[in-house]
Amino acid sequence: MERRHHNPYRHWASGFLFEVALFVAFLAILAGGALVIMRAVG
Amino acid sequence: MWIRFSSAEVRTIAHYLGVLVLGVAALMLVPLFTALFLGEWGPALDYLIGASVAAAIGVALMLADVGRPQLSLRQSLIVSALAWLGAASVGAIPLALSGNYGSYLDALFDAMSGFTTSGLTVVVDLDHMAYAHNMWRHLTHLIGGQGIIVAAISLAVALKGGAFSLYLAEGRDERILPNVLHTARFIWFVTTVWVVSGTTVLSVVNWFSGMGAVRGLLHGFWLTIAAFDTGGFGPMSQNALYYHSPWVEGALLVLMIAGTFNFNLHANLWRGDRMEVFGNIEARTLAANMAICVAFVAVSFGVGQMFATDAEVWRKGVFHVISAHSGTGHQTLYPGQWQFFGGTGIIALVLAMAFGGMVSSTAGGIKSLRVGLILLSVVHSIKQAISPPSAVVRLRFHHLTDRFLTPEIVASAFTYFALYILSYATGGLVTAAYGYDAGAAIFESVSAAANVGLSSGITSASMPGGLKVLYIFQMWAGRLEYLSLITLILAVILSFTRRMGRAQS
Repeated sequence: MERRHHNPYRHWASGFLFEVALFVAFLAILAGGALVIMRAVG
Repeated sequence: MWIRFSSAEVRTIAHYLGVLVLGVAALMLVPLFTALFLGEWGPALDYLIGASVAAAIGVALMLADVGRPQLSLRQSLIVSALAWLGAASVGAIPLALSGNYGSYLDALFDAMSGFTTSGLTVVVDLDHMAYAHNMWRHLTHLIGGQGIIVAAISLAVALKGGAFSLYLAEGRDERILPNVLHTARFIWFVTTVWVVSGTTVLSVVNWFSGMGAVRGLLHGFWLTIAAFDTGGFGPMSQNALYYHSPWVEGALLVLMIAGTFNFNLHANLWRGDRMEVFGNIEARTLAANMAICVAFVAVSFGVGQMFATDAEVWRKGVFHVISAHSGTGHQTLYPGQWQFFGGTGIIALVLAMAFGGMVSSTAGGIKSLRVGLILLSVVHSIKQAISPPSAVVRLRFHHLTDRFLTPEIVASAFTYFALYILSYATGGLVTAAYGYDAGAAIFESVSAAANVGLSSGITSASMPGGLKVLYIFQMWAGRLEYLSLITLILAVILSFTRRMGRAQS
């Protein structure tokens, strides 16, 4: 509980950039996987 | 035992509802100033009239009780339910005056779609709509996505008497910070960072694509809030397809995922607790569901060969799965291209829409946390069945903190699951009864009830009035996650039966 109430503004910039990188990586994995599956089926 | 509302309680509810309606009136100043800045005098008059009427209604409601009374949770549920209807009702006034809607009902449809971040639209001639009206349509996404109550708490603070219970009533179950006002402001801080970043990127892309400075900026801003607030409106009738830009689509994809993220998860990541996202049951379930839906769409593309290029896999396949799963509803398809997804792809999209995003986010649908808990309860039942009779099986899960799966948690998840399924099925049945194809009917019903906004083509200005009313109700109920609405309906019924009883005696 103590940890959860730490100031979320302190690292907001690095947190935001981490989120962007995470989402881009996730999308790349999805797109890559979809491409492999489509080619395997087609 | 059900408790009926006294007249004093009704006045209290009216007072807080008035505060919220007054807030909507104040927000209409944004499109009003937009119209004045851009020289759109007709729309400026629309917003002057709309804001005046909304302000008059808001003040009249507030005067019902001038003592700023405390709200109970039950009263808060009703204020929350009526807030969305009240906001949409007054928010529809300038839209109805715009000339882009066939009737007030059509304008109400779009206003409800906007505030509930659904994105279904019955607008006519969108490509020639005034900037001010587009500003208002997209602003409804921003306010609705953050939550009308959250917006009011963070700005007006006139809700002090019931801020926390109202916050809970809006379906936000956990406080990110110890104080509800600080929580509401943190939600706005996250939104501001994402909206400023998204608007910057999309405006630059628009400028490089040849758009003028103001138009490029406005389109960038509108697309950003429509994606981050998982709304799905667009300023052009072709929606995201209009831009024909992989950069725009890529930025929208990132914004849609960010918008479907639980604000508590944003907070944890911004606190530096990066591992939370990898262990969280909700994030895992959402990622797995998205991956499974993308896989099925890819299989369908591979078999059908209608969308078979590398670019189409992510600009059509991945894009629409993320758009559906996040509850956004942005589209990059020409009319009639849904058939290219094939049966498997369409079913995957319907499932993606039905499951929805995360709790405490701007997304709709059943929500990934509940889907994850239901799957975990299935695992629990199997483990219990294969264990010795004397064994006690207890499963743990991680959602912001480690917890045990209890019957109460499972029952709650199943209750919401059942309510959504009931709404999806009822809407599908009624739509099909109007003569539409069964597949298209269930697609449209799920899209409305899960506040997505993808359309199989049924939603248009020419669809039957009964369907418009049904979808308005589905969008409203889906955004409230049913609890507030059921409380409201029961309160009305009980008040009515009390009056009947008095009349008979």
